[in-house]
Order: sequence, then C-alpha cells, then structure tokens
Amino acid sequence: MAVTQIQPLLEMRGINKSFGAVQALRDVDFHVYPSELVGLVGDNGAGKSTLIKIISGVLHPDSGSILFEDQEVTIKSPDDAKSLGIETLYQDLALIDNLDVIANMFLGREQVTSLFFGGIKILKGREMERQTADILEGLKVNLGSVREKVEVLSGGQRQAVAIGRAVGWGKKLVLLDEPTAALGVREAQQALELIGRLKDQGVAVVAISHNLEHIFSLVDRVVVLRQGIIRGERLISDAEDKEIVGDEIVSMITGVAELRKANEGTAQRETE
Amino acid sequence: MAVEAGMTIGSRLRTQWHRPEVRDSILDNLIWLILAIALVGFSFIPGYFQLPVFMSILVHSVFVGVLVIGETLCLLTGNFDLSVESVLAFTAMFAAVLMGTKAPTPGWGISPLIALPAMLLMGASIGAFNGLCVAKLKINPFIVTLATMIVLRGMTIVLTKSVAVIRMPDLYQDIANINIGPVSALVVILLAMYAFFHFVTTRTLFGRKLFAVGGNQKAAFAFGLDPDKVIISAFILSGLLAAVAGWFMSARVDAALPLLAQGMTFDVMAAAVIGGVSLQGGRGSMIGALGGVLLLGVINAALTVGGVSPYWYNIVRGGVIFIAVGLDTLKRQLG
Repeated sequence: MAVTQIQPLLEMRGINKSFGAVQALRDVDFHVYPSELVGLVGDNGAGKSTLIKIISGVLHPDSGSILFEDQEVTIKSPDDAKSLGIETLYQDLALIDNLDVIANMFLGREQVTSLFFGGIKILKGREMERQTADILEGLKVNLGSVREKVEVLSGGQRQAVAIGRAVGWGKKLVLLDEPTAALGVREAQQALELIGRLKDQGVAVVAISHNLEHIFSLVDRVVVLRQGIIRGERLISDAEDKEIVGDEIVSMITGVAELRKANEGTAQRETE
Repeated sequence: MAVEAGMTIGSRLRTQWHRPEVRDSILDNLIWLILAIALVGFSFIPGYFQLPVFMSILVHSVFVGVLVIGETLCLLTGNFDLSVESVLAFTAMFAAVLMGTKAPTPGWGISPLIALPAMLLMGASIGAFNGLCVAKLKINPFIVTLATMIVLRGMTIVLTKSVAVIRMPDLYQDIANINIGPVSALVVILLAMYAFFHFVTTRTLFGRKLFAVGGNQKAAFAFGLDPDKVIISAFILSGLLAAVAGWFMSARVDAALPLLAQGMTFDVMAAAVIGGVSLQGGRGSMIGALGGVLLLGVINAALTVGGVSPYWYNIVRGGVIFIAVGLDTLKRQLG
C-alpha cells in the first residue's frame, strides 16, 4: 500500500512553541495518516511531550497551522481535541482510581437521560455497563467485573481500560505518552498487542516512548525530535534491516548523525 | 444437613463478597451496623428506649443533618467548608432583620415571601464566593472558609449589635410547627433531602463529576470535565443548604440569635467523617453521612438521658471520631 497517496489524518505545519527563552519546538512539520502507528522519539527535553500536548489541546502553538481531516483547526482545549476525535492517554493521570471501570470508560461523555429540560441528567448505568463489557471484549481484555474500582486493577489492566476508552469511542487518533513505562515485561507485551489491535480498528496512533525496542515492534514509522527540531524519520514496517534503521535513529536522537554530516562537510571543504 | 446448608450460605456469602458492588455497599454502610449496636447498647440506659427520645433525636439531627449534606458535597470534591455554621447564623439573622418590626433591633418589616428567597440567595452567594476563592484563586479551602466563618459571625453580631431578634412571622416559622402524623415536618424534609441528594450523588452526571474531581482533579480535567465549575457548584449548594438550615433553626427556635449554631461545624465534620466520607475526597455516600448524623444524635441523647456530666461530652464525641477514623482505615484495607 502506498501510504503517501492517502490524505493525512493530521497535518501540522511550521509549529513553533516557546516557554520563555526556551524554544521547545522549532518549525515542526508533522503528519499522521489514518490507521498509521507513528512513534515519536527523542531525548528528554527534545519536545515530544510539547508536541503531543499541542495536538491534545493542553498547550497552544505560538505559530503554525494544524489540519485535521483536511480542515484547518485550532485546538484550544482537551475538549476541542476530543470532539475532533483525538484521545490522549497520559501515563500518570490516565484513570480515576475511586471510580469503577464503567465510570472511567465513559468519563467526560456519559450517556444520560435529561429531565426538566436538562436540569437533571440521570446516568444510563445499565447501558454504559453493557457497552463497557462489549468494548473490552472486542479488545480481548478480561477484567472480571466492570464494576470494580480501577484502583484494584493491575498496571496492565488499567492500561487496557485507558486504551478501551479511546477505542470504544470511535476515536480517529490516539496519543500515547509512554504506554509501557509503568508496566512489567509481560504486561508491556500485552499492552503492545492491544495497541497493535487499534490499527485493525481503524485508529491512528502516535506513541512517545523511551523504549526503542517497544517502539520498533509496534510502529509503522518513527519520527525523531532533537532540541525541538524534527531530525528525520524512518519507515519501520518496510525496513528490511531493522537493526540498521535502529542505529540510524539512535544517531539522530543523540545528534551524532548531524555531527557526522557536519564533519563530512568540513572534510569535503578541506579536500577542495 | 444443617452443616451443609451453613456451608452453602457461607460460600454464597463469599462469592457475594467478591462482587465489587456488593462488597462496596456493605463497606459503605458499616455505619448502620455501628448505629444498631449503639442503640442496643444504649437501650440499657433507663428511659432511653422511648419514642419521644427518638423523635427528639431526629428533630435535633435536622440542623446538623442539612449542613452535612452540603459539607459532604464539598468533601466529595476534595474540599471542605468550615463556614457552614456562620452562614447558617448570618442568613438567619439577615432574614430576621429583613422581616423584623420590633425595636430595639433594626427591622424592615419585609414579607417572608421575599425575605426567605433573599436569605437562600444570600447563602448561595456566600457559597459562590467560597467556591470562587478555592477554585479560581486556588486559595486553600481551610483558609478561605475559616476566614468566611469568622467574618460572617462578626457580621451576624454587627447586624443587630449583638441583640437577638425574637418572634418570627408565622409564614416563616410554620415549617417547624407542622407535624406529619407523629413526625415533625422538618424530619420528613430532612429524610427527603437525603434521598434526593443520595440520588444526585449516585445516579446523576453531577454526582459522577463530584466523585471524579475528588478522586483525581487533573485526570478529570484531562477527560474534558471542568473541575472549577464542579467545585464552585458544590460550595454554592453548601451555602444554600446552610441557609436552609438557618431557616429551619431560627424557625424552630423562633428567634435569630447572634451565636446561633456556634461550634456546629465541629459536629458537621464529625458526622460526615463518622459516616464514611473521606477528607481526601472522592469517597463516601449521602446515606452513610446520614448514618453519621444519626449516630452523633444517638450518642448525644445517650449522654443527656444517661445523666453524664456535660463536661465529658466533648471527650466522648472526640473518642467517637477516633473510632470512626480507625474504622475508615480498616475499611480501606478490606476494600
């Protein structure tokens, strides 16, 4: 499949973002195709989280434009992002512990019956319970009871609920911040399989991770950020030798690639 | 046979225990078990186990009970409202001055039909002020509501230069004199309010938001909720309910006193905590809080009927709070 012939789901052009004197993003162009799994990698402070937060409406770019499904959009709040079909999963605040699985699944878009012209909104408990069970079943996740509070679930189960949240909602784009960071080896593997299933459901994913091994086993394409600038990208799914691509990416993350290029430049000039 | 039956019941109980909704509702309602035990224990006090005593417990629980509803709403969002007792006193005095006619207290002679809505609006506005300070200005709720509590008590005293306003208009105080069967209308209203707010907290969108904000405010925001709005709403309801309590109490006493309900915040917080409402937010139920209110009432009545010296009251009530907090910790380990 020639991916490039399809219109991007999300296209960002010339994004700049500064915090005081620090420029977190410089003229960043970034795009995601429908059903594509994109890994966003880079060292600490490279600007990954800033970029994700701009897409999810938590931060606003100083300049640049964002197109979603070919429409120019301004994402002013997480609410705006949600109504476009963008869901963000943060590793630290993904769920609300004292609420059960159903409540977490539907939080922010509960199904209600309105009484007194919307004065009282009664939750459709049964309906939401049934749908929660269906969504989790579709993702092949078994949690026991969906009425269990999420605080008693394991890290992997919590991740599954968070991912279920995004999927069950017909989301078009899911942003994952370190999806495997808090998980054990086995749980991380299960989470990766789960994220892989998002693709089958027609959902595009942008994942940030420090774990390159996890990223490579998961994504179609890797984009590298360093010091707020996109340093390059590589297709992983088409790559014949993942090891070579891996080395290239590591050198882009660390800046060795540019150093080498710069050195080659000086070397050339010297020979001239 | 008997042993077999016992075992099936035992194992059935155990399977039920593993169903989260069953386990949580048992743990949430432990207070009723404690209340039952307390009643059985107190029944040995001569003169305690009588209908008039229970009626009196219920009527005396009305004022704390109404305040506890608002307090629980604030606690569920992870905040609290210390100002409820002063809002009660100030709104009562405010209404009394609006309606008053007798010297030496100032009075406007306004109809209760206007004074009542005005006092409720006043309560809600004070709640809105508290809520805005907490949610928008991010000031610690302890500081905000403590300051409001002190200022409002001062304003209550200033309104009449510390003089009590006695004799409320009939229309205003009728609510405290009507009986439905053998029960005071206030008690029926209190129970109806608890039923309503239990429904609101467990079955409505607003209730879900209270628990979400109290559980994890950041996550609630990330999920598209507006935590500030939820917190401000809880404080507005707390102020409004405190004004309702002010109405009920001044109607019952047939007077607005400068020191009305002084120190009642202590009972309100105690009842909520005893009823299983967490100070950390996001945990507790209205029905549990009602259990806390009734347990405090039952204990107070036992102290009175049992002829315990009033000097000991606070020691006993403080001890009850320690036990409640201990049980809460135990509950969390079981749950």
